[in-house]
Amino acid sequence: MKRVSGSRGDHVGVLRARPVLDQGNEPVDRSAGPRRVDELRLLLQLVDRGLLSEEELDTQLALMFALGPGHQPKTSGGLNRLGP
Amino acid sequence: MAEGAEGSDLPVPGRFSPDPDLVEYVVIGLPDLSSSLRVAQALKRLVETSRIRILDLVAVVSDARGRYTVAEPELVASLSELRTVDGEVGGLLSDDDIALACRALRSGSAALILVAEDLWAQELADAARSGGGQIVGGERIPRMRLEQAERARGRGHDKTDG
Repeated sequence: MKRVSGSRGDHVGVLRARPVLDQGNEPVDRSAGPRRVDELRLLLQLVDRGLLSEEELDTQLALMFALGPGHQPKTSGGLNRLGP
Repeated sequence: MAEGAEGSDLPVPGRFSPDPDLVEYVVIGLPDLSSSLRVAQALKRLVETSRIRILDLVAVVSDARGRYTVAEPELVASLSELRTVDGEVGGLLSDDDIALACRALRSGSAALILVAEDLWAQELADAARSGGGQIVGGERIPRMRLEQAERARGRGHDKTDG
């Protein structure tokens, strides 16, 4: 995919309202989903195929499982952008 | 939708020019981003079979307190399958769009926000235009509403049968 803009901050936006999501339902039934070991195996396959460096793998594991260091959480509603 | 981020009405050379009647967004809820591996593979197939065109994509993770982290697709390993897929990212969804969508997310979950052109509906759009019409709206019906409608229909059948 081609990146057409480096920042989303200046975009007008396309959503008219908060999306209506199915609430009270787990997005995915974990018992029916892929097991973690399978997910890790798929990630390692990406490394083997040269699509992912080992450094990226470490970073992505942190991101996927626990939001690793270097990722600044934002407050829902984008209030972080209103700060000083 | 064909115009650039600057808002010009003229198509930007080299950019996709999607049918503006066929662009929608979907929010794909996931327990975590690692679960997006198969979603990425499915999206790749949908693009390669010309059923959709990806116009923007972003991943978000919400923590237990409802704070969210935005991850651009290039930085998400489980979306690596999409690196070689035709499509665009970064051009449509704004920071405010993402914030808006994240307010609806369940805490402690993840999601992909996808803006896509529904190429599978091109024939329908063309047919509508050829008859002087146009696809003018639509919305995903929440699961709960469908279940309510189904239950009401069932009650109606019971009365009819009785």
